[in-house]
Amino acid sequence: MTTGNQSLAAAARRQSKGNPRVGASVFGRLQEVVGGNTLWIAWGLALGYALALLATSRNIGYSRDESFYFDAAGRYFDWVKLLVKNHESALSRAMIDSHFATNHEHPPLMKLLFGFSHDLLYDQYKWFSQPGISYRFPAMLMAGAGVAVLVLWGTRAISPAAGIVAGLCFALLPRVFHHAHLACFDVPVACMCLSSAYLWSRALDTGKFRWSLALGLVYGLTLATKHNAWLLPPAFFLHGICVKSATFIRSGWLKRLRLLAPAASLLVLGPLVLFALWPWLWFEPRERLTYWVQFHLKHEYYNMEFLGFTYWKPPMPRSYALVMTLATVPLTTLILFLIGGFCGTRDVISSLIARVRTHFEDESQSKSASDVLLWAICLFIFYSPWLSTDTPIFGGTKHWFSAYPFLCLFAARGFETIRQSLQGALRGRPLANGPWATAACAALVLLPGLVTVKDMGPWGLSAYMPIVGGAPGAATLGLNRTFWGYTTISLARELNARAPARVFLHDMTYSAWAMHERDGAWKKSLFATNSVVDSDLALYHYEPHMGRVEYQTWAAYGTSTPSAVGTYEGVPVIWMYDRRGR
Amino acid sequence: MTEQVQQYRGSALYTSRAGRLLLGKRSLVLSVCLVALGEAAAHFVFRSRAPSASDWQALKSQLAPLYKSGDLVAVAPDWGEPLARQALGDAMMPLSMVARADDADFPRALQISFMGQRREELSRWPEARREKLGPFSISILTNPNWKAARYQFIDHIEATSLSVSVSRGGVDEACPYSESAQMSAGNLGGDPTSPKVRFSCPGGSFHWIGVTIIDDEQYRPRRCIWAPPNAAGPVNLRFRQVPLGKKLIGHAGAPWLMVRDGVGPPISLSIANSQGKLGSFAAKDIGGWIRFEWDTQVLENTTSDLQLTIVGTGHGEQRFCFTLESQ
Repeated sequence: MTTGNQSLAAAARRQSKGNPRVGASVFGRLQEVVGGNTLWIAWGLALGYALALLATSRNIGYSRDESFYFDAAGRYFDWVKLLVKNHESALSRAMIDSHFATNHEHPPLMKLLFGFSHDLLYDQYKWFSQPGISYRFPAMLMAGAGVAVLVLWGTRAISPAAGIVAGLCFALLPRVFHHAHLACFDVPVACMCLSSAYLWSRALDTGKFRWSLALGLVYGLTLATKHNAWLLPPAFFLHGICVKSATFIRSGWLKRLRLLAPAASLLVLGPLVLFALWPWLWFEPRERLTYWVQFHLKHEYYNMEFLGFTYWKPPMPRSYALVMTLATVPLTTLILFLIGGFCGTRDVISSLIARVRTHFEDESQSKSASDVLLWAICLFIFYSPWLSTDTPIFGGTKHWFSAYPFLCLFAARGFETIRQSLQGALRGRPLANGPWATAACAALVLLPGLVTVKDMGPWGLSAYMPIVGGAPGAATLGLNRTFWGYTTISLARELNARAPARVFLHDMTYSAWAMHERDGAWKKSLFATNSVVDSDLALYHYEPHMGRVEYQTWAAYGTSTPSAVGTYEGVPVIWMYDRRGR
Repeated sequence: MTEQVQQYRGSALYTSRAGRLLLGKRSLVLSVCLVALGEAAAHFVFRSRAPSASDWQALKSQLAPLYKSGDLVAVAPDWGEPLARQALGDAMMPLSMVARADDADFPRALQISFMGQRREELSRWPEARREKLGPFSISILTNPNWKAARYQFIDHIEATSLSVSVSRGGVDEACPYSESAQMSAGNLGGDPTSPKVRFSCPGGSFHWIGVTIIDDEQYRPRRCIWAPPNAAGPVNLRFRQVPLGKKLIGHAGAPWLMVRDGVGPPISLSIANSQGKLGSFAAKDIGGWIRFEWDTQVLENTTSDLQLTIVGTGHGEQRFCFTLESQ
């Protein structure tokens, strides 16, 4: 990395010599600092992002799925502790099954990390005052790591400024920012898939064994994070065939073996790491692997509102992923993505033409296009499930998060075009070639994501971009307003003011309620119940198909007047009824 | 790395040819910057576009002079309704209006509009008056086809007006009436709330007759008389001394989330007086909330005991809810 970055800095210095009036020496120095310290910048941004997530995590309520993972994390890490104390007992089938049976439809890596973090940082060292946040912390670190990898890859493939923009574009995607707080797998697996792709690129490019080894290990961790990882091998192999097949045919056996090393590592080391990390697979591995695969290939359908209609069975709308991406990703990022995609396509075509002209002898152009091709394939493969009308849409945008890092790399490429064009347009003017123009340009393109993220607070799943009119426009269009029952925390003040009371938990699990209770969010005199007729207070998280639960409350309480309403941008998301009329 | 960077620098990206091809250097930069600025500015515009909590709270006193008891209060866009209910309370938005069977039951509507939205279903109601109250536009709309109801069956689910029985092998088995029955509610996938005031029929569980609220095919609330078919035999609801007019107008359906897969056979609802059958109607699961009408012109201005009979397939797992009014 250093060599490349130094060369960038040197290029910048050369550039500055030709244009001494415009503060180019400053630019050169900045490029030198940035270029020479990419790793520091990448990990600095990673740490900054994780800290920003940590600082804003307290207001974000615990979602249904998180509560399942809290429980599983506790069980899984109990087994790890047992393994340390009494490994013979821990390794028995009965003990493994009893600890890992819970939530066995998902692999264990993140849950083990959640459990480890809770045990170490809450139970032992008391670094966190809230147990729920200690469970969430590993996912935040993982999101930070994803930002770092984007910075590194963007720097390597495009420029340091573009690398930073790639990382920050991803960090400031509003939905990513929300999910990055959660003790879930969607952002972690997106970051792991990105890391695997980066390592694949390095392994293929350098042919060095250490990159292949790292690829196998990281891919194994990706498999152990979430099943999105299944999509990577086809993407990588397609990419490998496109960029290395001519070399493979021309090469001798030794080089061919070297070219095959990344694929071999992916296919051998990856599954071995998964197997090693998931004790659940140690017994009846075939049956349990089959169950894992079948669970996700034949996942049941949940309800999801889209453009005013609630889908609960196929055919699902094919436009869902496209429209929801448009509605939730900043338009500026999407425009940069299109510009980057245009430039990238030109690069790939130019490379192909150059290779055909040289009868595939000259690989220099193909190297520059290789990453672009890999980004495009990964982007496509992570969106491709939604080309089928049988693919469930209940997860909103989170299920194609793994495509977003690649979208951001293209956006960074688009940004680089803008940056270059800006410098060209400003040539000869003060500050034109300085870092200020680049910084201002970057700040501007990141601004829409930043203002949305800053404002959305605990309402992450209700946040929509201005292209659909923000949250009010999305509500009018009939786009999903919330799911997972996570916004109860936003009514904490109203709930506590009405204590003592029995609270009907609509769409919220007892476990999520209990975690808030452990955090100190509720008064001890508030008791959760899942019976509306036995409750004093009833919560309702808006989703059209769940309206019937609200109507049950009306019939039980004899009123349709909410006592408190939680809104985002003026749009009701959660509301509460009080049987006692307070 | 050096080599690679040089390769990138030689590519289309770095020579900005792509940029020129797209829009030209300056206009490309300007366009992206304007989009970014515009998008950020639009965020601030949209976040305060909907009425605030204080706007809603101020509405109650502003609306009071315009409101008449019995008005339909409709909100456009409909997502504002919970805020309207909170602000206006049960006095102006009673449960019976919020979970109405049909807009047509109201002589007048107060439409609370914001963000330039209108209720499509009220678009043919003539506007008598319009006022601007803060961010709201209030329209007073008149129902051009309104007819007053002589008798609302849903208001008479009590022992003096109604008796309920199930015909088991030709023998009527009474469903006992209670005003203090144990309430229950089935949560997301289950049955609607069973009220305290109800007739309990053989079969237990959801086999009761009473007033509840179900979800229709658009997940909207519908307040109705819960009267599921019974495995033991036809369910008979005998209403005493019903004043009759030109017609009986009803609506029927079942809790949409429970029946939307449309696997259930039709449910029959028929009506008769002492002289014979007056009409019948068959409701299907996938039909949603359906309006029906029976002609009673020959009995206009008379009162009569009416028997409603509900028949299903006999397996006793079907749900049914209806409303009926005499006009």
